[in-house]
Amino acid sequence: MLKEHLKKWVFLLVIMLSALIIGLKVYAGFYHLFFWFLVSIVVMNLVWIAIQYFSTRLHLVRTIINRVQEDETLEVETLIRNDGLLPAFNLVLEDNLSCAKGQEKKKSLLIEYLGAGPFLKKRYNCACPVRGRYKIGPLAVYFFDPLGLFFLKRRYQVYSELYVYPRTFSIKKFPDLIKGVPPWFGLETSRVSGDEDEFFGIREYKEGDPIKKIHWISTARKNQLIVKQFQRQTFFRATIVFNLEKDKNFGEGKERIAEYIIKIAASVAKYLIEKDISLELIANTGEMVHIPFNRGPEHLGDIFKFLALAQAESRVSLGEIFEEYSRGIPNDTTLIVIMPDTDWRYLPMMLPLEKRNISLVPLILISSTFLYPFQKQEVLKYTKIKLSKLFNFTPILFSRGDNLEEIFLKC
Amino acid sequence: MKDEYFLTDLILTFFLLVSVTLLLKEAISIYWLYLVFIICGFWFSYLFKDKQNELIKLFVTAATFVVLAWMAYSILNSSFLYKDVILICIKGALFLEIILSFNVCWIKYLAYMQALSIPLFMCFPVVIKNYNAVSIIAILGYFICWIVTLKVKFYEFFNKPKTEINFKHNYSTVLLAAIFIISLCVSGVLFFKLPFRKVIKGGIFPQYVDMEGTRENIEKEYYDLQEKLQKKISELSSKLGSAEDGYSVLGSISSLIKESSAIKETEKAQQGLISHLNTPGLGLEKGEGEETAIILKNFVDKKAALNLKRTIDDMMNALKENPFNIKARITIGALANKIQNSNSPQQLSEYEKQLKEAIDNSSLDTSVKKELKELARQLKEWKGFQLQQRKMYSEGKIFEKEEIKEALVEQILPPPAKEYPQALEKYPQTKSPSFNLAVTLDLLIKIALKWVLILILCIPILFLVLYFLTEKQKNKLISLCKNPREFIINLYGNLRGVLIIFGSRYSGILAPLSYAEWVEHRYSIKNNLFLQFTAKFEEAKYSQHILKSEDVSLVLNDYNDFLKILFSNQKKFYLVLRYCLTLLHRKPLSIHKG
Repeated sequence: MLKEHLKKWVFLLVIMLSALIIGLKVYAGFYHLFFWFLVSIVVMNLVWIAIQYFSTRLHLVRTIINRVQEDETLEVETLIRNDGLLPAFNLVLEDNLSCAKGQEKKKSLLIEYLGAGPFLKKRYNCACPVRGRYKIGPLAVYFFDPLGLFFLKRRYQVYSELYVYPRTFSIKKFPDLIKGVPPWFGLETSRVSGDEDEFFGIREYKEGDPIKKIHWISTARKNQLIVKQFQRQTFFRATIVFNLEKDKNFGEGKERIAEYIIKIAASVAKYLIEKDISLELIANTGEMVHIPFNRGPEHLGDIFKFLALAQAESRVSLGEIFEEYSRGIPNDTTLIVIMPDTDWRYLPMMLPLEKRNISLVPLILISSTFLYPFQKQEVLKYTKIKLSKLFNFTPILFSRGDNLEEIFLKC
Repeated sequence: MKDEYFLTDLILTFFLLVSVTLLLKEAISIYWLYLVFIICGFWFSYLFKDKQNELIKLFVTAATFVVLAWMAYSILNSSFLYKDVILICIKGALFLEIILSFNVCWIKYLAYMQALSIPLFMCFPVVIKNYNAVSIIAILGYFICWIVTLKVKFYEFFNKPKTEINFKHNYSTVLLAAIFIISLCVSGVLFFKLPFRKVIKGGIFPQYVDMEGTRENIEKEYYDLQEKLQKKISELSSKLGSAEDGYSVLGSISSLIKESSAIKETEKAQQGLISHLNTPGLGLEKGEGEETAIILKNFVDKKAALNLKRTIDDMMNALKENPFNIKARITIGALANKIQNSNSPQQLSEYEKQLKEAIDNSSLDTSVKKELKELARQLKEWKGFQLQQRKMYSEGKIFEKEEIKEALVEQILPPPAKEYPQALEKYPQTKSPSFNLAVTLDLLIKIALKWVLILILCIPILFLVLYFLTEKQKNKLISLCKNPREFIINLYGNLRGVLIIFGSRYSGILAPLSYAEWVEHRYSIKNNLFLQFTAKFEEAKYSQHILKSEDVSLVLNDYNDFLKILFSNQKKFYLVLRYCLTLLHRKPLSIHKG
């Protein structure tokens, strides 16, 4: 704002000085009048701003949702109320939207008239292109003169926290997971239908309950409709492991290995949590992060919060991480490893997990594609051949620019 | 959004140009053609606005350079008089406006055109002869156009949709109009109350002092007077007694009006005519001789002025042969101008000496120098003749007839109204007799310095006064130590005041502990100092516990440590400002017991 207006001020000053000097040098009434006119207009405007600045008492409240996904639009609503005696004119409300890109960071809204009284609602938005945690604010109000030449600024310490989660893609198909047993005991279970459900007990019939679930014996005994209640017996657990190594974070901007790993991890986590699978996350992003097994949207929120902040700052290898945490991975689970192909030398370390009935799902990013222009088919073919020679499985491969959703469809 | 305002901006720019060119109409010989070109330019640019053609840009850039080169060339070949230079600049700027108008849809060029209109506007007093209704409307129109342009730019800057602007209920527009009108009135009052005093101290180019008018004006007046004089003399000769006298008078007038006549010849012819007018008993009616004498005097004076102008022009033409010898041209031009405006023979000799020295010191060719020296001699002679004539007329030595003397004393002898510098001394008294104050640059600087000095003196005094008042407040607070409860409550109140000054306004709906948490969170203070202090305050205020002097010490420690942490988080400049505010509110900061 200052930069934009500085030009005007300099220009105005030059005109005023020119009028003054010419007026003093050459007697021509016009220059005198012109000079005094400019002086009057400047003084009047400055006085006006001063009156506005000192007589206006503003109260500001900002409302935003506290999480959005990358590239989504953040909707902001700010309420502004003038508690002063005089109405305010030519106010500019400026919000510091740190999540936005470049010039959009400063959102300015002109309020030509704000009378004393109720709240005025102002809505604006911005795109959030980069994941992370942002402190939105502070709010600033500029008091402008009627000509829009000068201003005084007042800052309001109104802050809001925002998480920009990594962008996820929809996963329609995922490799089969290993079925495990619940980690808790004490429930006597009775298989009724042989499917995934387990008899839990009986309860009174409620409207909408299917008729086939009515427990006729109990109904006869109690003389009222009683239905059987089941609990899900199936219990799947999965562990996502990745390492955001600083030295291997090839690529530019969003087309970096770390960004792809985070995007894949977020999407897989979302898919698994939505399937009600208990999920654990082990990662190194400069510091070791372990989010223990859990289910539900809150758990997904925790994972996303971590992924929003994750940066490629790790100085340790995937091998070291695996060595440290492999013992903690429970039996009868699935291990999802997201890694660049430069780390495939650590895959043999993971193969013995099969003995503990841990299924391995490697999601591999081909590093070279993030470095140079490439022929997709050839690179994929080469990598697949190389991997099939080493291991007896075909991993899911990703290269730069891939439609990640489609790749999961093929698995 | 930008496009939404573009057309308005374009129209306003056009009106800015129309207003300014209306004022410069007298300098533009082909005013209507100029307007046609501007309209064509705007139209052309609007037609191709979506096709940002590189060829158009190239054409505009090349044409701009051509105009700039033309301006440089014209200035180099000019007389270097301010008026000439300004006229060239005006023409150049107008050409530039035409050229830029062909790519006006490029927003940058539009801004250039608007900016260029300001120097053009500021030049109009140089060319305007008389202010009339049209010029006043044009001036007002120019101001209004600028104000509207600024307002439009303001809306455009903040992306205000045009549809949201309601002109009927637009308070800021009404305000703007009010401020404009008030500013006009105030500037009018200031203009009359605080007139500027003219200070001519030279500049880059020789000053143009309009003592005699332009060459064209002098020539016109000269030929008018010549015609009148011839008519009068022919009437006079018919009334003379002898034919010999008649021939003599006609001979004198013939030598006097001759274009190439030398000074001596002119002087002789004038003497001849004067002797006839002085001769008693010619049979002239009362009033006839006086009128002829006045015309004769004016004619001779005008002839001297015309010859002075011609000689200066000849000098300038001679100097143009070396167009790049700018320094010599400016110096010689300025000295020739000074000779033309000198008021006494002493001044004349001094300037002539300086002029000859300047010619000698210049790096001009010998032939040019010789020519210039000859012209300098002629200049001096003509000026000397003019001064001598004026002196003789003022002393009444030429005419013996009393009635002619009286007429001349009444009409001819006062210095020309515009004469410099006597007129300058007279100006403030004659123009605004009731006000003695006149604004000069020196005066403005003096006033500004005086105020700065007063401020420099006042600020420390004010600072000291506030400092002592704050210290008093501090002592008052410390004196409460005997009553721990009251001390803690007051100390908390003081801290809250300090925090408000530092921008953490206390909202009535917050409980003190919540406020403390909020403050600590805001300043990232992790050791709960303020929270502890607040807890103590709540205890002091709401409980019946007995508070001891240890509590006072504890609270004071918390208070001082908290302030230290608070200050360490702030920038120095911000701290200084806040400190001044705490002084103004008489809120002591660090407090130490005894």
